Amino acid sequence: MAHDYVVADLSLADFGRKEIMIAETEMPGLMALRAEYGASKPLKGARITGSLHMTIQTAVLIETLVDLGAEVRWATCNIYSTQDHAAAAIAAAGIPVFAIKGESLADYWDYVGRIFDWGDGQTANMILDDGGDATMFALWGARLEAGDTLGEPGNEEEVEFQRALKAYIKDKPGYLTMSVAHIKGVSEETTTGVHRLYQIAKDGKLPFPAINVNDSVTKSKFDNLYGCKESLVDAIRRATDVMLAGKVACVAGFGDVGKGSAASLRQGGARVMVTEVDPICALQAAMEGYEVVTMEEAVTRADIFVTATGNEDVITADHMKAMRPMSIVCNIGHFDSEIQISALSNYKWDEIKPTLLSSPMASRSSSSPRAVW
Amino acid sequence: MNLGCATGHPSFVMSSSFTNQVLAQIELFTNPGQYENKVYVLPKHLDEKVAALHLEKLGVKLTKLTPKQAAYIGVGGEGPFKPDHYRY
Repeated sequence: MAHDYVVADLSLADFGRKEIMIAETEMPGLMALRAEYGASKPLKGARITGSLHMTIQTAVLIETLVDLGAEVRWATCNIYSTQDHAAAAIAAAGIPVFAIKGESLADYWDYVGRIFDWGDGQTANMILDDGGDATMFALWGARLEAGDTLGEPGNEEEVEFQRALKAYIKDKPGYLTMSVAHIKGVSEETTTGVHRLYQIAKDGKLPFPAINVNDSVTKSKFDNLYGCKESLVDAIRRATDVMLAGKVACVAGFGDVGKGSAASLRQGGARVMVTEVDPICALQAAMEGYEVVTMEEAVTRADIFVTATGNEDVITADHMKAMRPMSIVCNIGHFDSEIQISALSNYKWDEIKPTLLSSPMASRSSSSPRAVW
Repeated sequence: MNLGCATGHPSFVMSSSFTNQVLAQIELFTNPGQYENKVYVLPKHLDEKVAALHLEKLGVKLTKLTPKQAAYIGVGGEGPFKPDHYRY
């Protein structure tokens, strides 16, 4: 059998292992669970299909699950988020992992298929999900096999999802239906995935229990808030090297992620505006001292735009046309459809690095909005 | 954005998230039949446990309620310290 993993470069495993060992010293909760449950192995017999950003921190999570007795098959939940050295270290440890930074959407959905493929008549019996893609793959597989139909795909993501799913069903008829029947439950990491789960449950179509990890206080009030507070400006600086102090920034959405993002930019010396649709969050933003405006007003005033809403088309092509030259536009929400990127496909884009694009739009000047995410 | 252009959130805060993930996996895997096909959140005592596991690393010294104080606000001395509807 071919290798049961797909990573960019297995020779990065030693580097990955060193960073995993450092991360372990900063992850006391996970290490305490290893100490508490490492002997009793409560997850013995668990076959966990996991879909979550394949980073160094996730490597510590994966190895904790294994230490507690689980078998694990893992893919990333975003095509850009993999740290290739983390994936390499996991592969080198003999854990099946399918993740390459910058993988195509086609590969992404094929890898989701791979993490459900336990071979030898076995299936997953648990899902650990971030954003709900793995859960949707299994559920829609079972629904299609039961005679349900998918709508027309609305974007490239959905095109690839449907292609990969239909190919999987053709190749392994009945397997996803059997998998869903064996799954004892799913734990979901993030706001977007939880939203999907509540909708499925409301329609009476959830075939197993789910735990909403996102709304643990020690998740959303920490990861979403304090995590973004540190990592947003880190990402803007690494991507663009722009001077933040004195710039005007606009954060769309003032939930936990928006609160962290706005604080991050303010700490960096930026003057921060916020857009909101919810009067409670808008009032919170105003009383934190942020100017609350509409995107229509913000587009002509801000230098840096960050979307954190969980919705789509928050920054449209028309918004970007109205922006000042060399505006920076980025998304920290789960899906990049917060920015209407597909509507910009007619413009010429210059790839500065894989996650940083620049476009001279026919607008107010010859130079341009940059899109970063 | 933060994961694509940099390295995502720092380990410490992800430990908090992922400790919840592991506890959720244990809960669902070891208690088949106890949960209906619905969406649940982890009970508050586990949420407080996750936080407690991260205090020592930061040198936090937690104050203990006296029995009289615990009775005054109507909680057990070991928690949960807040009602489920409390929003933090």
